[in-house]
Amino acid sequence: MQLKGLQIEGFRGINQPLSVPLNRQVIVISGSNGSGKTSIFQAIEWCLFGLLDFSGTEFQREDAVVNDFHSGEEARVILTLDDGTVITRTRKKKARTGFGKQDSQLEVIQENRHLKGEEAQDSILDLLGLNTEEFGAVAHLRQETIRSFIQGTPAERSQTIDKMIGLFHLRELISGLDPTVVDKEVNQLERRVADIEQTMIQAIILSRKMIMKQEDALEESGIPRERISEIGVLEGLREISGQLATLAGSLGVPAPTLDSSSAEAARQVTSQAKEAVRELGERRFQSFSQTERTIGELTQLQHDLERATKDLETAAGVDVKALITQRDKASDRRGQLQKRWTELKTRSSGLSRLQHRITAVEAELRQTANHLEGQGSVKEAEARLRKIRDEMEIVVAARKTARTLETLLPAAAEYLQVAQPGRCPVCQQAITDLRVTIEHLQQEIQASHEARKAQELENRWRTLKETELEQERLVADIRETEKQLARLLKELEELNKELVKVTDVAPIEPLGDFVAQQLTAMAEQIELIQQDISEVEITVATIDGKLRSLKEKQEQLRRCQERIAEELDVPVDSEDLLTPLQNRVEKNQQRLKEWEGLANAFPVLDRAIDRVERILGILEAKKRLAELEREYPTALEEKEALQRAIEELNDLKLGLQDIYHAATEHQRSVVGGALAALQPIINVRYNRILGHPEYAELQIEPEEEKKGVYRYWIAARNPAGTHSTYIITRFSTSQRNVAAVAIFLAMAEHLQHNLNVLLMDDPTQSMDPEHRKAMARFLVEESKSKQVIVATEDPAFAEMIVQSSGRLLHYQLRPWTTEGVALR
Amino acid sequence: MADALETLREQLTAKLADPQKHSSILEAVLEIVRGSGSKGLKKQVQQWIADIKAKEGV
Repeated sequence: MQLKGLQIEGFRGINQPLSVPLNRQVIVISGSNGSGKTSIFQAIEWCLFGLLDFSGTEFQREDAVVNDFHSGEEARVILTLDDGTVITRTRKKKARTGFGKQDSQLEVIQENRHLKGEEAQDSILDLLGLNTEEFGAVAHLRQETIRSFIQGTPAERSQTIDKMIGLFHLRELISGLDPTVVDKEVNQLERRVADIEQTMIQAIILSRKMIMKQEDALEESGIPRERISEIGVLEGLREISGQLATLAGSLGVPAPTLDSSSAEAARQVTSQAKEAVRELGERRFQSFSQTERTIGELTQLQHDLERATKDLETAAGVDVKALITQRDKASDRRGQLQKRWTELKTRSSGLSRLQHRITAVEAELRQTANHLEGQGSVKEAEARLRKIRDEMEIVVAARKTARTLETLLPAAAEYLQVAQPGRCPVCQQAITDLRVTIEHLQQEIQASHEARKAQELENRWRTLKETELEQERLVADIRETEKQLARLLKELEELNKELVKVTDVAPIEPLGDFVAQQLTAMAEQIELIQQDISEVEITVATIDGKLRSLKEKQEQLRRCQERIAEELDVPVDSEDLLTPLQNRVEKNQQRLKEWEGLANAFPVLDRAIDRVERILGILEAKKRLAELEREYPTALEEKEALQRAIEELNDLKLGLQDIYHAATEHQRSVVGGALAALQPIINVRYNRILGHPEYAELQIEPEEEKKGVYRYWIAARNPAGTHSTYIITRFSTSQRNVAAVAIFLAMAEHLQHNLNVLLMDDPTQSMDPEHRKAMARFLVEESKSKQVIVATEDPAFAEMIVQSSGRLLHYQLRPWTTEGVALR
Repeated sequence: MADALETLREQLTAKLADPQKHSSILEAVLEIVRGSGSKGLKKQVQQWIADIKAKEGV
């Protein structure tokens, strides 16, 4: 079976009607990328099967099979086979709905038969002996198949190989057959059965047991079985209502209203009764607590009154007036003492000041006297001065004589040397006499007044002069000291007078000691006065305290009386407050006993309510039991139906498990066998195209990752079997491309079917020129036994096929436009 | 190729633990695989489950 002609309109990239005659053994469709080559191949596949098997979910969701620009919004493909069969498939564009063969219209005209729908599809499958997956494995080498070899992950390659070696049915079966799905359903139904058993059967049994137990318990508590009824409930409610009314009356509150006429509302009424009991309980507790507090307060008041009265009675014996007088006197005494104390303090500080001054003056006096004593008297000093001056006069005369002689004697001697004997013109003495005299004098001067003597006299004079000056200063100093002494004495006299004023006694020498004694005495007096003041202050404070305490007691009594009067609601000036107070306490104690007595009513009420509730519980349980018993037959039927369904599902599960195990087991054995059978065919094809120069043999090695899922490793080895590698690690993309084509061609030869056609979409997409050339030669060779339709974007490859083949059709596609695909 | 599917049926039947009981299910399963692949088979298993439940009214 081969293809004869193809007409396409509105399909994917093809808009306007396109007629492609296919009545040759070799057909080459060339054109640039996106010009519509793949659309032509897809049109053939879609026309045959209504599906584009490789397309992913995204493609299927999109209504992409219909050309976007087609005026009729319809895809139409008519495929004519060489036996005259005409297959027409159409599809109207829908708005983003699903995509599948059921959405297209199929017509098959075959040997005068006009078939439609599923019948038409079945006729195609029978005619070709292929379904869509098989078509992809043996007739249509898609670009994706080659790409998965060149670029795909190991899982993608394995899936492709699985399909190519004919295990797709088995793979699909194993992948689609999941017995655990049935298992889950069975488990779910079994849970429902268990649920029914638990909710119905067990519930009925348990309910019966529980009701019996509760009835026994009630009977034991004194309620006869005949009272376990609605009448019993109503009686119980009436009893509770009566007890509540009594209790409310005792507590002084309105009785709660309970409707005890209807058994339907009994549950609600018991709740109301419980609430009423709770409220009355709170009320009783509040009243009890309040009364307790009142008794406590009244007792305290009573105690306070008694104590205040007693305190006042005790205080009555105290002479308040005497106390006040005593306090006033003490206050006066304290004033006097404080005055005296202040005075003494003032005098003491004055005395201290005087003491300091006296000490200073005395010290100065002593110093001055000592100084004076060292200098002697003025007379002595003046006598010494006179003596010095007399001596100075003698020395001055001596100095004058000496100086005259020193001047005259050399001149006289010189005159006498030159003068003629005769008389002195001055004194008329004979010169000779004078000469003798002079010689005599000279000798005397020489003897007693030498030049040094004159110097000594000079020195002596100076010493005397200095002594004179010193003595003059001494005299002046003595006079000054005497003046100071007089001043100090005067000051001392004044201090003495002042001291008399301060001490009131005549001072006794030495003054310093006297003042010190006076100060000590004064300090002692101040201390004594201080003590006196403290004692007086204590006395005053004690008296004040007594007076204050008395006042406070009076105030306490007054306040206590006021509180009692207010509490008892009587005038505050009542003569006897204690008696009515005691009466009030006794009254409250009586009430407290009443509240205590009421406590017993609550457990009684609780028990009554509990009994009613238990009866109600039994009645409700009986009601539920009756309902369960009514529903029991239905539940039993449901359980049986579920069990039947479980049985059938288990049968289905067993069947599916059996098939699943058989399929996985078979797959395991087939994988090895299929690959072993394919292996030589693959290698023949591989080497006929142009295999690897060294690794000339391809080998597909299966590995079962998990049950029913295989992963294939494509290895290559040298003919001697000494070296091997994985193609993905060692082969170039060109060589991998050749490997993919070889496996595809081996499958096409290995599996039997009726379609004698090879559709190859861009088989040389990653090949170098040498491999492309080999591929062209190979395809032309193959076309001798098969119709070969090749699409390529490589003009050189197209030309190689054209050159190799004598009789072929070569369609060149123009670049794509919205008008669609155009052939040349 | 239809023969190949038939062969597969025969091969799997031979491997079934209870062929008498389960060969009919196998035949149905293979038919579904042929028509709509693994997805169709998954749907069919669900359908069988639903049919059983509907039949028993559960």
